[in-house]
Amino acid sequence: MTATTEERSVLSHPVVKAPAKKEKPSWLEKTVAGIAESIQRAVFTEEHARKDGWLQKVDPRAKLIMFLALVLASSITGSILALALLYTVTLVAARASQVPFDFFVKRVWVGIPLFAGIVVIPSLFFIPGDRFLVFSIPGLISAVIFVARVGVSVSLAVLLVLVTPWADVLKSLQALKAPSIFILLLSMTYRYIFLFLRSATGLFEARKSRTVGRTSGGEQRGWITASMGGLMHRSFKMSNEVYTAMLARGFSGQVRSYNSYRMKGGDWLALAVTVIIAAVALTLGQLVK
Amino acid sequence: MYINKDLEPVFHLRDVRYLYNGRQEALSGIDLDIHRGEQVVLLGANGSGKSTLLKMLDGIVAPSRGTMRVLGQDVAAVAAGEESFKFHREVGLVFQDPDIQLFSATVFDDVAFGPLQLGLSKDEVRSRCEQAMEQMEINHLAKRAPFELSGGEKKRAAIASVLSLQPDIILLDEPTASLDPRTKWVLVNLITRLGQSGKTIITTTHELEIVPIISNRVVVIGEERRILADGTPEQILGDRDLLIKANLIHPQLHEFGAINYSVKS
Repeated sequence: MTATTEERSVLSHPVVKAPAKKEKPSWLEKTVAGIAESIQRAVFTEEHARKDGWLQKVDPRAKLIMFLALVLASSITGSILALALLYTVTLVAARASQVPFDFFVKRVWVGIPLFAGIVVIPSLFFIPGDRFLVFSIPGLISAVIFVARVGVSVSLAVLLVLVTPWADVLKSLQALKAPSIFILLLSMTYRYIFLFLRSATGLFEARKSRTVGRTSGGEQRGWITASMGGLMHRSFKMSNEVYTAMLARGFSGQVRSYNSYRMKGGDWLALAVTVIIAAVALTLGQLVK
Repeated sequence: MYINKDLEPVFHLRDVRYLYNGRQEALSGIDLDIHRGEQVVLLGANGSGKSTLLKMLDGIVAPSRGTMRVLGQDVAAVAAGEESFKFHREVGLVFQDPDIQLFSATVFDDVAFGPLQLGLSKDEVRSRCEQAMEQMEINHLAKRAPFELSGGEKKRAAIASVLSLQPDIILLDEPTASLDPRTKWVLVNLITRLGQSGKTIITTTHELEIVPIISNRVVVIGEERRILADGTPEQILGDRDLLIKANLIHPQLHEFGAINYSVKS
């Protein structure tokens, strides 16, 4: 079979030399991939919400109030002992809910010392009082309390999200009279962020599959700007279409949702015990500093 | 089912035109009457304006020019939202892309969205949702998030979200596009059953093999974005030149004469 003129032209075209080193993914590619991975992991964690543990059986509204009571107690108390009590309760609850211990602890404590620690660094030096080496002792104590408080609060939030499907978290917010429009927006944002990330990942992959050789920094920046514009355009288009789909099913501006929760004896008991623990932690905080 | 053409049509369009962004013509001079109980297929190639026409029939897009009445009222009033609530109790649209239609946290919430907007009681909402999910065989997916579903499951959930409104008129935009044969067949069966139960079904497609099964009337929209032909499935599918002109078959791809369509009796 003989080649056509076009084929010959393509065949005679100089072969593009492969880059000596494999091109590293750009910061934007890494960021998008990181966000996508985090969200996928958040979804993956619904695996724990489907387990047959203690907290999974508690009514989501009760769980939300229990969580709020304990977070409030940990925010108000200034006692390490009270914070230790609250954290122990959180760990016991996690254990009873079949959440793997090391996964739960690592998930909370890997980032907190870094982010909360940065905030408290100045207090280690500038709070007046006795000194241990270059550090102020009252500053050290307040830094430990602050980091512990953040740790307990984040642990509670992580535990709530791990043992409760996202849809139930949203519905329990609604049951607690959070504005429906806020809940609808939150739910839709969560839903569509996946589609947005899928579009963004698709764009990167499509570009990668057609990129031969190295691209300059300027070319990459130009492409990123154009992609951002394209993504924004797609997002606007999709938001209009979604709104149209809502109108097509009778949406008239007022959000209504369905929930079929019923509080049982066990839910009331769990709620009461948690409120008592929060009160004990607060009292302990007042008595033992 | 007997179709009484003496009654006022449910959709009445005269010289309807639609311009995207005020410039690009999506529909050009459409004259169409559709009566209650008809099962109509809008047949056309990509970009012929089928989806735009379907959105117009659903009262969510108003024509740029021409006269259009839906269920006896001016479509502009429906599109402006004045009569929208009442209108959408009777007319339901299934979008081509199910991701647009599934915006809630779970499949059940999406199916319940329409009935809840109608202000129905909790028991009625639950009963309608269960019935719609049963029809689409997706009861087991009720608590799943839409992003966890496959393409076919999403399509079924999107259709269930419209069926739960129990509309008399159902508009389906390319319902079988990109589906595997089994799911496609489930949908074809469902559309046929809905038609047999007396509902008015209007479906857009360019898949010729399902046309005679799901319709008793076919309207062909050409690439000039106007109606090329209107007839029975037998008349339309038997007109090879028409199908070539409307870019629905290609002489080198289709041996149309050799395809044995199981035309509905």
